[in-house]
Amino acid sequence: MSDDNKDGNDDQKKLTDDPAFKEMQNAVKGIALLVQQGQQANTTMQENFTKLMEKVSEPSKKEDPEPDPDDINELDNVGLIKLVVGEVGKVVDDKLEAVGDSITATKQGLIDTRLEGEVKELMIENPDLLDWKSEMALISKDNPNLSLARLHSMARTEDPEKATELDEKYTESDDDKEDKTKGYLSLMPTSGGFEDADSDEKPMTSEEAADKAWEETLEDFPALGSMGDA
Amino acid sequence: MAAVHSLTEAIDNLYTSTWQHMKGGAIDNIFTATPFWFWMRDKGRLKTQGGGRHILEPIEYAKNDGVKFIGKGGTVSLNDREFLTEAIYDWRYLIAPLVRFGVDDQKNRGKTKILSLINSKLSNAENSLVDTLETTLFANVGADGGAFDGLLHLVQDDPTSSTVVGAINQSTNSWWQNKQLTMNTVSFATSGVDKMRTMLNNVTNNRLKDRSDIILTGQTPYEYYEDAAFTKLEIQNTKLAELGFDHLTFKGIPLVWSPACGLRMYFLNTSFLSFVYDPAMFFDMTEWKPIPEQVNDKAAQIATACTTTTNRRRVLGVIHTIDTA
Repeated sequence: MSDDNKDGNDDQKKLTDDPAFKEMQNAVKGIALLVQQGQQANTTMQENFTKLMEKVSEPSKKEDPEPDPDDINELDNVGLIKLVVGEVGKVVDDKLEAVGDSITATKQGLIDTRLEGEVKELMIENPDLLDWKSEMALISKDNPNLSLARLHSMARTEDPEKATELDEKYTESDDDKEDKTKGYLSLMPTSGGFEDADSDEKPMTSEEAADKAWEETLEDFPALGSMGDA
Repeated sequence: MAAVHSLTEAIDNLYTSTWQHMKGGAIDNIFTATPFWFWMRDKGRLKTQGGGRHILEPIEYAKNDGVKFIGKGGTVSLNDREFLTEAIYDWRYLIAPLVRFGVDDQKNRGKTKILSLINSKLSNAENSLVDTLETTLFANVGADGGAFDGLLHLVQDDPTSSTVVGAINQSTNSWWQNKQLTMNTVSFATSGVDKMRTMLNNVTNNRLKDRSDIILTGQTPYEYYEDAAFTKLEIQNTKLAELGFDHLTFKGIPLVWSPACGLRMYFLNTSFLSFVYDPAMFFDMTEWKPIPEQVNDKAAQIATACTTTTNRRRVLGVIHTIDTA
C-alpha cells in the first residue's frame, strides 16, 4: 500500500469523525425516509380511490334480497310480510302509473280542446290569426301567460304594415261575395244561383226581383231614376 | 264628365238582373206547376251534370247466372259474366226566346212602366216553359227538332219495335222493353181496374223497389177511373194534396192527370227516371243581342241544357188506347 493511500484513509477517517458531517448524514437519511413514506401514502390513497370508484359504479346491492314468491311456503313471518308488501306495492305502482298516464292525457286533452275552441272562436273575428303564428310564438316565449287574443293583438301592433295588408286580403268586397253565389264558371250572365228545394231561402217573386234589379241598375245607370213615367 | 249610358243598355241590364233574381222562384214554379214535375223534384230526380258530350246511365241488364246451390263437391262457374252496359242520352236544349222592340223601350219610360213590361215578358216566358216541359214530357223523341225523350218514347206502346232508346235497340234487347197493355175498344168500367192491377203486377214483378210510385194519365182515363173507383176511393197523397193537385190513388199509388197525356195511363217508377240538367245552363238568360235589320230591337233567350233518362225500362209500363168508358 502506498503512502498516498495511507494518507487518504486518514483523511476519510478524519471526515467521518467530524460531528458536522455526522449531522448532515442524519438529515439526509431523514429526508429519504420522508420521501418513502410519502410514496406509500400516495399508493394507498390511489388504491382506496379505485376501490371507492368500483363500489360506486357497481349496482346497488340490497342487503336483504326480496323473497321469492315461489318460496312462499318456506318463508317465515317477516319474509311473508315482506313478500306481501312487495307484491302489493308492485300492483299499486302499476295502477298508479296507469292513473297518472290517464290524468296526464286528460289534462293535455282539456288543454288541446280549450285551445282549439279558443282558436276557432278567435278565427271567426280574426281570419288572419294563422298568418301571425310565428310572431305570436315569439311573443309567447317572453310572455308565456298571455292569452291567444292578446298575443294576436300584440303581434298586429308590432307590425302594422302586415296588419293592413292582411286586413285588405280578408276584407271581401260586395262584388266578391256575390260572385261566390254564381256558378264556378259562368256560361251565361245569369248562370248559377239556383237553390235546391231544400233551401230555406224564400225565392223572390218577379215583382220583388224587378224592384231589386231596379235598385242595382240605378247604381250603374243613375240617369234611369230621373226618367218619370211618361 | 259623367259617363253616358244608353237607355237600351240600362234595360238590358234590368232584364238580366231581374231574371237572375227571380230565376229561383221561376224554377220553383216550373217544377211545381204540374204534378209529374213536382213529383220528380220532390223525389230528387232532377240531377245535375256539368257538361259532357253525352249523359250516360249505367244499366244492369242481366242477373248473375253463376249464383246457385251446390252439394258436396259441387262446382260454381267463375265466368266473369257481363251484366252492365250504358244507355247514352244526348243533351237537349230548351229555349224560351225573348224579344224586345226599340219602340217599346222608347214609349215605356219610368220605373213602373219599365218594370211592368219586364215582368210581363219574363212571366210569359216562365209560363211558356211550364207548358213546353209538360207537352214535351208526353211527346215522342226528336219530333220537334231535338226535344228530350218524352214518355211516348221512353215507355212505348210497342216496345218490341225496332227503336233505339238511350242508344240501345229495344227489339233486340228484351230486358230493355217496357211493359204495355191495350184497352182498344175495351170498356174501362168493366175491365179498367183489372188492367191496372195487371199492369202494376207486371211492372212490379213482386219486387218492392220496382213498384210504380206514380200513375200518370190523361183527363178522359182519369175520369173513367174516378167513375169506376168512386165507391172505393182511397186516402189522398198528402204532398200532392197540399199543393192542390187533383189526384186519386190506386193501391196507394197517386194517380194524376195531365191534359197532354191523351188516352194513356203510365205506370212510372221515378227511381229509374231522371231529368238531368247542366247547372251552368239551367233556365239562364243570354246577353241581349241586336236583331239584324230591326232598328233597336233586341233578342235574348232563356236556355236550359237538359235531357230525360231512364235506366230500367222494364219497370215502366203503359196502358194505351183507353178509348171506351
